[in-house]
Amino acid sequence: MPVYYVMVLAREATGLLRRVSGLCENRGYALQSLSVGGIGGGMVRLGLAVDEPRERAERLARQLERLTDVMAVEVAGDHQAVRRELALIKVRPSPGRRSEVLQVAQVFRARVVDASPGTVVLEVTGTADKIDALLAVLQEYDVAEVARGGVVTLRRGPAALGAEPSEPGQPAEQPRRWSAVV
Amino acid sequence: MNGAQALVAQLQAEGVDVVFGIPGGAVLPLYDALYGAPLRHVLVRHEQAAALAADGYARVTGRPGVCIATSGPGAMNLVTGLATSYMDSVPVVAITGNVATAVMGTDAFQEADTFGTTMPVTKHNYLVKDPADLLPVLAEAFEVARSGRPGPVLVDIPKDVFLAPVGDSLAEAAGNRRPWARNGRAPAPCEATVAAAARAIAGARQPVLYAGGGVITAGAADVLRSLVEQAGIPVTTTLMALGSVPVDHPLFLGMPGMHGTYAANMALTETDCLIAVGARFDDRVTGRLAEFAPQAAVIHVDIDAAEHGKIRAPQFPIVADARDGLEALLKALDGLEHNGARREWIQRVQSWKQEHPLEYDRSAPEILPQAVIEEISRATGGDAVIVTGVGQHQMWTAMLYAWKRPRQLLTSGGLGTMGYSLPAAIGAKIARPGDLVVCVDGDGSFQMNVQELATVAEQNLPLKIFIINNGCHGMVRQWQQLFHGNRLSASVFAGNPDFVRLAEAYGIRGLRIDDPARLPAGVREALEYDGPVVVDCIVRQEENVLPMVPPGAALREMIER
Repeated sequence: MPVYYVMVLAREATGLLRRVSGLCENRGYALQSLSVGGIGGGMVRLGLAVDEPRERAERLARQLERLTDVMAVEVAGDHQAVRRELALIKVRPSPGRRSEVLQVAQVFRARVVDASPGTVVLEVTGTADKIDALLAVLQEYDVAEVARGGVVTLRRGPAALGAEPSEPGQPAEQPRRWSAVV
Repeated sequence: MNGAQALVAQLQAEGVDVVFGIPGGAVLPLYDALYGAPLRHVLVRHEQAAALAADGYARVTGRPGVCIATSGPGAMNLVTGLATSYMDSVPVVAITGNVATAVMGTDAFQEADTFGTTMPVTKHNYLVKDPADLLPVLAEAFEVARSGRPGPVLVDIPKDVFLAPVGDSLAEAAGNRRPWARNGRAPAPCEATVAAAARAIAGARQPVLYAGGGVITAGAADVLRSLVEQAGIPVTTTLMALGSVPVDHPLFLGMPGMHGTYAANMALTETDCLIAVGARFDDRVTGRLAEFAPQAAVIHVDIDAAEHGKIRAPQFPIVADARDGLEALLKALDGLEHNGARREWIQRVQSWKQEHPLEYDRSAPEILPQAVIEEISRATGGDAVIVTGVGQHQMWTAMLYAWKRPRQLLTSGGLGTMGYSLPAAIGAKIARPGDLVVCVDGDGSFQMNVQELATVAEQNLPLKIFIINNGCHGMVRQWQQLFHGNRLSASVFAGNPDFVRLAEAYGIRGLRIDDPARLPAGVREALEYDGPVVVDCIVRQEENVLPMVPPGAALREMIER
């Protein structure tokens, strides 16, 4: 099923995360990934990835727009958004196979951010697919621990979430403005 | 000024003249500030009643009702009331106390996670930990409650925030908090969509207007009438919209749905153009969705964009306040020629009305519940504010009272909160002391907030409380009879209290009507009595609410008799 990314701009407020996740749960949306971060100016950006058809994802966006703290919401498909996820992976290669792990890391452009006599910690950034692929290769070397940060997304092109359209009359290229209601 | 005193001053600045509540440990500072303040406090006997009284106040006035509860159990008891207001989009502001910030999260005495618990049953809620936020949050809470699609808002305030010094006014506190970005103004309806929708209406052979509670919220009943009269469109109003079209209007079809009229349900089944205004395609209205208005192009006017396509995808979604949307449609229809088949359609619809009126056995030896409603309707001239509980009596009231105007029926439509009637009537009567306020309740529903008779007596509110007493949870009994092989599991009461003596114990007049011949006189006696009165109307237990669309069936598959 296609994955859609729901991008949310909200004001920083107590309970924001619970409100957003609670809404998803109440309305029957399983979140594939969730990322949250303050972006300054008292604002927070959330990225939700849902494994749902487009119209269900759009309906979720309309529900999220109803939240008082939410300023803007936009839905993007795979090709409409730049997507990145960060993962940290602790590998425990058997003696003698450490260099193989480092080679794999190089292929995936992963960085070594920590090493101990028995372990290597890799940092990798990319699409969820790329991280999945790396993890699949590393299975052979005993993956001890994985931490993933959730997908962060930005829409491709000049549009910016929450900004007024610069040229009216080109709605397709512009982010959907928050409705001034509810 | 401390937080509590500033809060009371701010409530007055918001135009609040009455609050409903119960004191307790965490709100002692607030009650101290209320002591002697020029703000009426109505002491109810259960916090659920505080929330429902605020709801009733809001439904008759259109202004936010305000309720207060203490921390823990007090706040938890508000939940049902808040959920009631949320489902029916009623503006309420609830203020709860909480334990001091220093002990929050330690399972302190009477501590509960009010903020988390009420999040899904409010439009928005706040936990005020910084005294500087208190006044801006309160101002925003009122704005959120009444703007756009209204709803309940809760403000949870720890005890030390009530006691902390704050600025004397909102003006002083302004700038402390990032303002709510959305100013609550409804958007103007999209002109192109309105124009296309108007063309669809004009071209329709068999249009139906399906009005919901949004019409009443938006004060759009007059525009609604202009539209249906000028365009010649039969109109059905949901439970929440009853009164927006007078029942004797020739284009009025009655209520749609599970207990809707034949005319409304058949019109909805056969229509080719459905104009839904301020309505949300509730399952009790649509029946089996696949067969709801199956051939219709749908125009959906709603201020809440999330309602468009939630249940039924409209061809013409119009995001607007019901009044703005209807006015725009009316204007766009000006000069368009309507389909000539319209006259035939109206005749057809009217013949359905004549051939399938709401009927019951008028020669029964015992009192039938429908007869009580008709008698109340007759005796009040269709002019009273009617507040119902939930169940069979609620449906009979909706069907048989002669509704004349908006905000006349107060009922828990979405959540179906039994026990709604008495507390909501208290709120309504306090808001509108000059109006005749009548409770039509069931014996089951009444007992869910019966303690409020103490409030009625204490405030000396001349409510007329009719209990349609069938000795059971009638709607449950009806479903068990029809759909569960008449296995009457836990629906019939082995006994009821003597409601006449119960009323008298509270210092309220009690009457009993158990003889059909005495019904008109008994109803009149209750209405003419100068003070509150409880009327125990003993009715036939086995009577069912009909017509009925069985759950999961299509509207046209209704059981008529």
